[in-house]
Amino acid sequence: MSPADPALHLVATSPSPAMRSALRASGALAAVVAAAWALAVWNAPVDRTQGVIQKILYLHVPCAFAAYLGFAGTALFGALYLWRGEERSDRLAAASAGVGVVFCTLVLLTGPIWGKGTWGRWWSWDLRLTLTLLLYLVYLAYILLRSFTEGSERTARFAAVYGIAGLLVIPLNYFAIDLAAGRAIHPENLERGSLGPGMGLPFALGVAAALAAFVHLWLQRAEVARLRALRARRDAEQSAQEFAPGGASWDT
Amino acid sequence: MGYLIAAYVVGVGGLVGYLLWLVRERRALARELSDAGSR
Repeated sequence: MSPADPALHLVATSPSPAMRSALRASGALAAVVAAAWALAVWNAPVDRTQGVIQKILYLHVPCAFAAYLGFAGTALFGALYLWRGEERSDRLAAASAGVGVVFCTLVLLTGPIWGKGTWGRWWSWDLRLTLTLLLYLVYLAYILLRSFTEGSERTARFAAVYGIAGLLVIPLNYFAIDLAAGRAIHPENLERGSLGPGMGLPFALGVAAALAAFVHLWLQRAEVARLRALRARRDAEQSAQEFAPGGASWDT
Repeated sequence: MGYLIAAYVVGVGGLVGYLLWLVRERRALARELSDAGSR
């Protein structure tokens, strides 16, 4: 595709009809589910032990699930890139990591607020908290690596392997409470029946809202990545034209 | 109650802020590429 062709540019710079439909549908779904979640959280019963602050659970845990999903997506699309070599898979892996890091940031912000209100301190070097911070830093490094060396096939291959290796931190993080063997300050993982009466629906809606928001943000991020790749290709083509024999040069 | 409100402002505000940034970035890139293509 040539950047000089306006007709082709109109096609390339607008989302495809399928992407446009996906953006609209995912945005509408996220808005509806988020509204239902907000209503359910408002009406959720107050926890007898912790009081009203326990309602942070309906935001904190779903954000953690969405972060896991983002990092799993990074590994999955990274593996697809290594297998098929398609640039699109690499872009989707980067989009997954970007959205995953945003959700993990929210986990690391809402958790300490909850901790301050219940434990009396913002942070503890508890195994779960430490491994969450490690998980965040692993994928933050993935994003920084890509931003410094964007565009090369070698970077994409390295990022794919790195993204897959980083996935190892997720099971460690999830089972951190069991690994700490009674020394954990962080509450145990939720299991069926561990929530009080009336808390299941707001929690389920919270997970649904976080996943719907994840999908919508991921599609938006993937579209941004596609346009950035298009711009990089255009810049490369322009540079090649400028320095080609007979083209513009530094002297002109 | 203050901690609960703070957590929800940070959480929901963070997601909405990120969405707005992505939409703005997407539109700016599309405009930039479209302008370059029509020149």
